[in-house]
Amino acid sequence: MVSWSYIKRWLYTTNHKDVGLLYLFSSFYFAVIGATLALLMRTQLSVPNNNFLTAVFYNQAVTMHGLIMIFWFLSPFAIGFMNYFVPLQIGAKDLAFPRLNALSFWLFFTGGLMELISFFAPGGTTAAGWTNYQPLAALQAGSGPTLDYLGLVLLAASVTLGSVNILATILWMRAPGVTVSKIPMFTWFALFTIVAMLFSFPTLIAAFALASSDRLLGTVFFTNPSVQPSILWDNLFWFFGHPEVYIVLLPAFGVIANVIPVFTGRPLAAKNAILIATALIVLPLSFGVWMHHMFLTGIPVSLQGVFSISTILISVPFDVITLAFVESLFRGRLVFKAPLLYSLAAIVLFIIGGIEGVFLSSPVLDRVFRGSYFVVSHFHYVMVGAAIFGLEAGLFYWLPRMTGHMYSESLAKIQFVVSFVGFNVLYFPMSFLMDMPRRIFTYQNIGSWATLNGLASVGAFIFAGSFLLLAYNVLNTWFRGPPAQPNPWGSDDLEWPTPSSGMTPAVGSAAVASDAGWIGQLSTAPGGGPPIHSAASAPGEGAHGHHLSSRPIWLSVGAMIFLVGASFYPGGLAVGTMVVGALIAFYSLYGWARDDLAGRFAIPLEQLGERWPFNAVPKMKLGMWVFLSSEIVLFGSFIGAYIFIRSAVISWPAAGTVHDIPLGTINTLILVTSGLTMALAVQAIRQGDQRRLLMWLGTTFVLGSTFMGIKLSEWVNLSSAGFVIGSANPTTSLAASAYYFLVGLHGAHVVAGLIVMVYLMKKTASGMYTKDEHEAVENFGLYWAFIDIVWCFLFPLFYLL
Amino acid sequence: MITGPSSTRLVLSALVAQPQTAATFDSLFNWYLFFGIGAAVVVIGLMIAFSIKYRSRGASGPVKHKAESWKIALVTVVISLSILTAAEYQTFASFGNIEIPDPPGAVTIHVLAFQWGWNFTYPNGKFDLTNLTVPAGATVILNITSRDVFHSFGIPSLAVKEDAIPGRVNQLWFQAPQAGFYKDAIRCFELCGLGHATMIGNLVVVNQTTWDTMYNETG
Amino acid sequence: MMVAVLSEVAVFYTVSNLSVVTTVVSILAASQATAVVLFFMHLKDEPGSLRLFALIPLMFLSALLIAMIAALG
Repeated sequence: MVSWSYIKRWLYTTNHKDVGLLYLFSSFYFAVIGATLALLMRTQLSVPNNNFLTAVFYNQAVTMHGLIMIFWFLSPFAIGFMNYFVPLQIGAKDLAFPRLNALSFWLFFTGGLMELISFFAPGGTTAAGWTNYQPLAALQAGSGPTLDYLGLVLLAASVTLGSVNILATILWMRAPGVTVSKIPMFTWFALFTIVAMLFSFPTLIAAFALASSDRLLGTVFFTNPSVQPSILWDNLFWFFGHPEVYIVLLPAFGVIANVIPVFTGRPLAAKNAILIATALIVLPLSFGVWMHHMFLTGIPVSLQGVFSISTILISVPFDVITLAFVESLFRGRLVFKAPLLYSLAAIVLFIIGGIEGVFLSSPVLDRVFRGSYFVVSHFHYVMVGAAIFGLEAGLFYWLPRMTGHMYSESLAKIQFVVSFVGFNVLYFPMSFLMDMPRRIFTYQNIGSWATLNGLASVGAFIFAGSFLLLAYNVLNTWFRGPPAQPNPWGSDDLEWPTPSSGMTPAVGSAAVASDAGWIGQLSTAPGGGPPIHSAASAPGEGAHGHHLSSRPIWLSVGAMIFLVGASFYPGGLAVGTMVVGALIAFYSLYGWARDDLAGRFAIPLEQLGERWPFNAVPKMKLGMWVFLSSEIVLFGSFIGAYIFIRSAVISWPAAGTVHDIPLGTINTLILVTSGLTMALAVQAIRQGDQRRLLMWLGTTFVLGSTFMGIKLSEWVNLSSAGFVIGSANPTTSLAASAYYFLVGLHGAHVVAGLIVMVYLMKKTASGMYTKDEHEAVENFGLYWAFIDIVWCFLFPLFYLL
Repeated sequence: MITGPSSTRLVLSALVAQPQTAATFDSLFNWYLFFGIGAAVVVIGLMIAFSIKYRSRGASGPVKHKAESWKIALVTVVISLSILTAAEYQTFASFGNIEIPDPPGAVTIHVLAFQWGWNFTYPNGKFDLTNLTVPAGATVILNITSRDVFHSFGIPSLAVKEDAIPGRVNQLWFQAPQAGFYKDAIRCFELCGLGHATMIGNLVVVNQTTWDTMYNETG
Repeated sequence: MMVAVLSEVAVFYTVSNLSVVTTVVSILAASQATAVVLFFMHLKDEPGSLRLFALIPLMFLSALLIAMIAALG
């Protein structure tokens, strides 16, 4: 029975449990695709000199396997759990910004669709490895790679929004009684993961934006050899890439830390040490090791030494965490159900993979390992072994809670054995293949290569087979499993009703996933206070329970259509597609704003904080600061790339010869003044003066528009003088690329600000801001000041230097 | 002790020394392996022991336990740091493998990576697209670059490798003590397009006089 | 703020040594940024933990930049 309202509920939901389930199911869907690619590759590599796959397809497969598994399977799997359980664990009703949460999901999903579409573009999809090294990637013409990059940009946008959301939730929406010391471990690790995401993903966006700009706008960031594009890309990508691997791993550790105490009957050992260790891993350590991916690029030996030390140091907190997990078994009473089995296996696999990592921290040893299958073994042990087994522990642990049914323990154990054996047969042989290069589509029959590869391929099928068992177990449980106790594991965490609450599970319709089985989860506060969270939405509660909104999915669809069109630019239908996509996207945004004005929903967008029922004032503002924090990294990455390019390139147009400095100075002064007027506007409304607010907002708007107008005229003059991206002179072309891109990006931010200002002025004119309720104005003030600051750096960088 | 990792490793004769870079690699590798396996055995062993000893025999539910202590964490940090510092020290002591020496009589050969092969250019201007020929026993320095995309030039049996990056020249050095023909000793280790799997070269080690005649003298 | 901008331009016109210009201009830009952050964005009045959101990214970016430039050498 699949009615339209049932479908609509899933497409329009903003409820965190629904969105969590959407993430979980989607991630499995993408995992199947990623796994299929892997099996195709392993088949090709099972014997030497094979021609089951061509080099063309193999290179695409190896690239997409990595991208899809990392971005569309591993992290979303974890994010699905975060969505579902973080609010429950802290006693919150939902995430801080529910519609934004739905938007995060749909951006992730449409991004994934773009990845899949890219396979079918003429020429196929990107084939430069998930690491997308330059200039190889830039040399691959066609829309396939562009679709792939832009899909990644959608995903990165999804993650950035999600980070702001989950951070705000954990920091502000904890129920009374959930003090810092009471936060469950999974939520802690979610927090750490999110912080790492917040500061690393902007660099990813920067890297792929520059690469996409090369493909679509003709800039030369990675195609002009004097820029040293390989090193530029290497740095940008891995500055993101290294924290990314911990982003993939940490949620699994969070599950393990949450699960182990429940099945050993004793508290987690050294809990504070674990938390401190993880905090250190996230900041600063994970951001200080990235050059170990670049040991062989010709960086000075001293620099190699620095990064070797930082890399080996990152072992220490991981050792603390591992030993704490082991100590948590000491003198416990271990119940070997699936969650515990998987947790222990994850730890074992992490130890193996982690030790392989220590080998890789040595620049000397890296001279053999770099680009070989030893590396492949290492990262699969940690990213598949530790991460997936850990998340599977979570899956079995939380399955009763999500479905109301209990899974088959014996089937889970059989699957566990098959999985563990298959995994090791697949990856352990690779650690012996340290002289075999990665990413080769075939190999000659040398020494033990054939045997080891053959073994690995067999292991691959066994491992993949175990997931069929998993799928069967999960689906069977969902639809036909025996009803579970409300708290089958006897856990104290808040996502389970405590035994004293006396709730019996209602046997809800199994097909409706969210909250099936419970009418409400009442839980007593630690210390025996009043119930913390009231009844959550029962199945079929309709609009109120699931908080339906059509805007997130349509916005994502619009964005996707726009970007798909852009990928084929300047092909025939491209512009039309882009227009359609843009229209859909703008209509959704407009609808979103109108929903706010009509009070139809709580406000999702950070800078438009209004009538959130809970604790509005600090939350929205910190949401804005968090967002700006990531923007600092974004602009910083671009500016950093620019500075790198300037340092690498020998000749550059001398300062003063290209740009009109007096005009630029005047323009800068105009923008600076607008910063002042905006501050005055905020000042005005803090005193409750609506008229002055309107006046200052208006002035800021005029100044901002003037700034853009002058900028536009500068651009016109520059282009007619020959300072264009397409210039035949490579130095001019490079300088122009950097200028138009960076200044254009800033300009786009200014324009966005102007549009928001119109909205704010309209609301002011309607008298909607008062002395006590003017969150949006404050937050917009922050945004505008930030734009001001960025220009303070861009102006001297481009005009004076 | 444990033999080298590569199936194409130069075959040792008891009378002839290992190439220095390979010997340094092997001893460093064995060092890390010893401690790596040791750590894994100890920790995983503990896990197995605890799993057996503390398994629930029917009863379940909470167990009384003392308050948390920092002891284990502290001990872990101390032991970890000691082992890792020692390892890092060994690595630094092996930096001779990656610092380019400058002895008299060193031979410099240019390696140009391209899609998809290697161009070895010798001091007298001659070049070869298949074989890297070097004099036995001499210090060989390779200047490596690429003319198109990012490649990586590696000779696993000698434990040397450097990336071949367009616009940049990276160096590596080695000494091959024993003459011989080592087929397919050279490979590309960075995905560089469709021919990545076929960027293979041979290492040919000849005696000094032969080499001088071939590649050091012009005309 | 305006003073800073005008000083930057003045320096540009008067000094010919690129490193000096770069240094002075960087300092001026940084002070402008700090001023805006502290006063226009009221960071001065906010609890200290909020400042972390400004400082942490800056630290990372400095590390990234320093390492990137070093990698060229």
